[in-house]
Amino acid sequence: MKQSSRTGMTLKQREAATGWIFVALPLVSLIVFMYYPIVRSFMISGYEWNLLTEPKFIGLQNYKTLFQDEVFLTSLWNTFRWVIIYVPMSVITSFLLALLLDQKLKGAGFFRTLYYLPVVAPIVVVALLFVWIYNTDYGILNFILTKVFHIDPIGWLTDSRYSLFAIAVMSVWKWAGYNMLIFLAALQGIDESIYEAAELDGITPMTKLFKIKVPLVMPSIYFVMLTSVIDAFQMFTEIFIMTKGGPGYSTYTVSYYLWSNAFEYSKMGYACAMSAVMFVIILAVTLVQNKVMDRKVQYDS
Amino acid sequence: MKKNRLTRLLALMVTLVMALSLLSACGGDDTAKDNDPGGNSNTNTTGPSEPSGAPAPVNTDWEGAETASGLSGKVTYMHSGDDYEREMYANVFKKYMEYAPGVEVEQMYVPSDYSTKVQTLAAAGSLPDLFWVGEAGVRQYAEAGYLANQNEILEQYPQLTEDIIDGVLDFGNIDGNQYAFPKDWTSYVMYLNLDLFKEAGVTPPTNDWTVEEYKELAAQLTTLSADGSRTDVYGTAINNYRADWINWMGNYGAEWFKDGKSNLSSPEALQGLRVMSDLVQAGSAPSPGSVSATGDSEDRLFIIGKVAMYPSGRWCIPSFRSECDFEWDAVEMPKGTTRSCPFICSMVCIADTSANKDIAGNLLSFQMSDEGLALVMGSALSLPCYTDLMENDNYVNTPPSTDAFINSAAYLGTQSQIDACLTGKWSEYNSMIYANLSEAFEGLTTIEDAAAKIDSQANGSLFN
Amino acid sequence: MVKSKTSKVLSYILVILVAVIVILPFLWMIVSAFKSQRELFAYPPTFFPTEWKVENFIEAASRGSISFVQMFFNSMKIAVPATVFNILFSTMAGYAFARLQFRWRESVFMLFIASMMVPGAVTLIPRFLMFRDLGFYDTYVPLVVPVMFGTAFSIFLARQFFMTLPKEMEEAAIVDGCSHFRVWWQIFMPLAKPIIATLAVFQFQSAYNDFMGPVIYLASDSKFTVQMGLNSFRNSFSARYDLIMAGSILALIPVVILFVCCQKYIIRGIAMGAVKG
Repeated sequence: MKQSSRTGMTLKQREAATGWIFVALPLVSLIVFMYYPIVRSFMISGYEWNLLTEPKFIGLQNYKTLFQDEVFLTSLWNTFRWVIIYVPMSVITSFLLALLLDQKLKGAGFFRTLYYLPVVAPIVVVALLFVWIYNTDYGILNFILTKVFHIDPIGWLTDSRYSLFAIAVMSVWKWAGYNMLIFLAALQGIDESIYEAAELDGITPMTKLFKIKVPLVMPSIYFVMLTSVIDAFQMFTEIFIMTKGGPGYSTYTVSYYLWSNAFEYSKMGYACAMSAVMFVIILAVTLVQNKVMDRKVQYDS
Repeated sequence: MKKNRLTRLLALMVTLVMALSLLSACGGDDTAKDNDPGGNSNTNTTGPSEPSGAPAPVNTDWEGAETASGLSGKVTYMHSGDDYEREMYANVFKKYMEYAPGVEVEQMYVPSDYSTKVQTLAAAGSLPDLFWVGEAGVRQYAEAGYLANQNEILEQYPQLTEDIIDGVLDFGNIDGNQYAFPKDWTSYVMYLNLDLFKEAGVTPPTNDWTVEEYKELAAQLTTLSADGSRTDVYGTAINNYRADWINWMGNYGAEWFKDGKSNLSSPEALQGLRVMSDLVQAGSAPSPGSVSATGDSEDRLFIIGKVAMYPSGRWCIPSFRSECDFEWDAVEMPKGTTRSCPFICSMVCIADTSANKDIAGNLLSFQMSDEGLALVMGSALSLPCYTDLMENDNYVNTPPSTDAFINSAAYLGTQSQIDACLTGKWSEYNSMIYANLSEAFEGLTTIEDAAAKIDSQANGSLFN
Repeated sequence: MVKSKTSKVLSYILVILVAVIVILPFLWMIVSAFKSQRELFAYPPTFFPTEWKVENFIEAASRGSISFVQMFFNSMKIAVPATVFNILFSTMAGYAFARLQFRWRESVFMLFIASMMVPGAVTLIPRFLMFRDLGFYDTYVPLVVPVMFGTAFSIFLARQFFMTLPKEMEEAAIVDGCSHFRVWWQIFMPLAKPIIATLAVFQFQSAYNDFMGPVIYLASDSKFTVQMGLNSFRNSFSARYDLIMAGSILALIPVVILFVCCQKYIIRGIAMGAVKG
């Protein structure tokens, strides 16, 4: 009440001071736990270091090795493959689910909640469960496929032709509910009057979908795609639990190979070089995506 | 009104928490005094306290008993393994503390991702006093100066190396200095489901069998389901695991690691690896991935009677004993051109930073004493490193029959394995072998190509 | 009319079909949890267990050096402070970004937004080294502290929510000389229930479900979390799927309860954050 006069600050100054106080701790935390580690990661990448002995400066050698390292290139390629397999599957599935629930159905709320259930399930639980479902000899999936469709058992996780795909299907199952909500929100945000105008023009449901709904939901689609790409570089737990990168190197992802190098082979410098490359790639993807979106992402309403 | 009550409740909780933390702070002080007579005990521990409940057993022949009674302090012992092992070692430490009433042993049990833990603890500078390191990891830690030299301990406690099996010390010996002590070893043998043999009308093998006979038996024991669409019982199983590769390659006398280079493409090594892939291709064994993509549940198939012959280490026995509801036994691994047994062991290391190396050495000596080993070996999880105990059925007991295990002591370890382990780069080499062989076992590439790829990859980036 | 009726029926069929696909794996988990090992590997597989083995749950809960209950408490020691503090600091910062004018506000906000694009693996090693050097290895500190002062995503969501509230909300209070702290705590927070619920579920879930973090930072079994305990039913020599399934159900219960309690808010919360993002 009397503070402003006592401290001799105007309302404006007080507001600014409060603003800084309110964001101070989060900002410090952001710098300490995000930006400083990024910088330090770049620094460590110049060293050969096994954690146990003194680091040895080797300049850009780690990067040179990295781009000759077959396993790293395979991991990068797998991450790219993952994006190609997973992103369309995920976007289409969740968009269809959103369209489905966007109709005024009775019990839509219940189904929405139900579809979201896999999202809250711990990834460890989901991964272990699917290891069991995908089991070549004893899994329920192959049992159903052989009984119903007379297909020979498929090595979902043990055949390098299917392993990444199988994990992608699991991920769609797990995350579709989340992306669905994003699309649903976008669909429900579309002004009713647009539809009404369209209906007067005697528009078909198909054109309504592709000419009105899809374009209006496009920002959300970009958002989902971008987060999926970032998540692709994060993918670790699924791999660690389900395949350990195998069979062969078919499910090595950048994250998994980075982890192996850092915490199994004790190559800290090398692993940091990997994370630096990863950072640059993500940066590039984000910039390109922003360009493609032809308008900058708007955070203000 | 509601708000008021809430505030009051909050206030109450805060007071409670504060009171509790105060209490626990005091409590902490008290226990510290109780448990750590080593810290400020110069005054009150003039003579070792003689707890009436635990009479010091003098009739032991453990050489360290006297030293133990004079020791005081606290050591932490970190180990991996499964639940059986945790309990067994809890007993060892309990017994030890009876000998050494002034010592507190804190057990630190790590159920999974053990090697990562050791590494991060080492990096964090907080290694426990005693800890296990796999046979392949010793060099890395020793060279970085994390491990205490155990030469003096071996001198102080001669029983440690008396009657020790040839070769088991080599993995912990770096340039003549012992940095890790083999707490036990495990033989690789073939477990047999005798009921399945009887059903198939096939005579079980004896210790002198050969690989050719093994393949034949595996085919005979494999049975298809009634409609012939799938395998009901597999004759055998293979593991994409270092013990399996090392065993099979060794059984053909392969020098798969030679002159500091990976040499899996040598004819002998290929011959050994081919045994594994042939079995899968013939349909006598499930591909390692078909049971679990990470190859970790073949033993389950044996337990539920879906696999007739299962190669594995002694660590399977406790669960086989409690879970197999059929007749089973073990024989030596079939002979190729020769025989060799892989050395699989977690070795006991003492941290160079340990403040209580005397206690650590004394505890190690107790763990390895006849009395200490008796507490561990009864469960048949592993084998004692001493020739005299190998013949003693308190240490190597049945079922299964013990000859297979006793015999394999004669051909334990190969130079290739020692050399490969002592490069200090085993874990990366190991994952290269694992990844490339898994493709071969799934039939996506040939063993020859996989071996060639492993050699070029390893010699190009690791052993250049 | 007729057409819309058939399409409605079709929609219902589809909705139910998807529901079945979502539910089936969970159902398989539940029935598997009650089976004996032998039955798990039976072929052809049975759907319902011939003998319901409740013991699996008892064994899953008590196997290992620490009980499931203890692991659950360990997980709570990470998840609860991480969630509570995260909500406090995030809403505070969100309030500042939504309502308070200060220099460089937009730039600072962009710093937060940009950090959302950085995969965790990039910061993994330096963070590990930092906590190691500070002596926090094998403690819960590295798992709690980096999230407790607010994370970009939470701050972003909170800000989006506060921006939807009418300005008149606080104007009168400010003119009366009420501090911004009080405006935040006494006016905004009570209205922010939907966003608090959303953040609570998100933060709790990500802390409770985290696997990589505990694997890297925790060593001794007495500190193990539920997720680690679950994975330790599978070691390099053998896998007990019966126990894994039973343990999975136990691990699921807390998050599902939390989610069901907060579900109606979450949907609004996600919509809030995503539409504009």
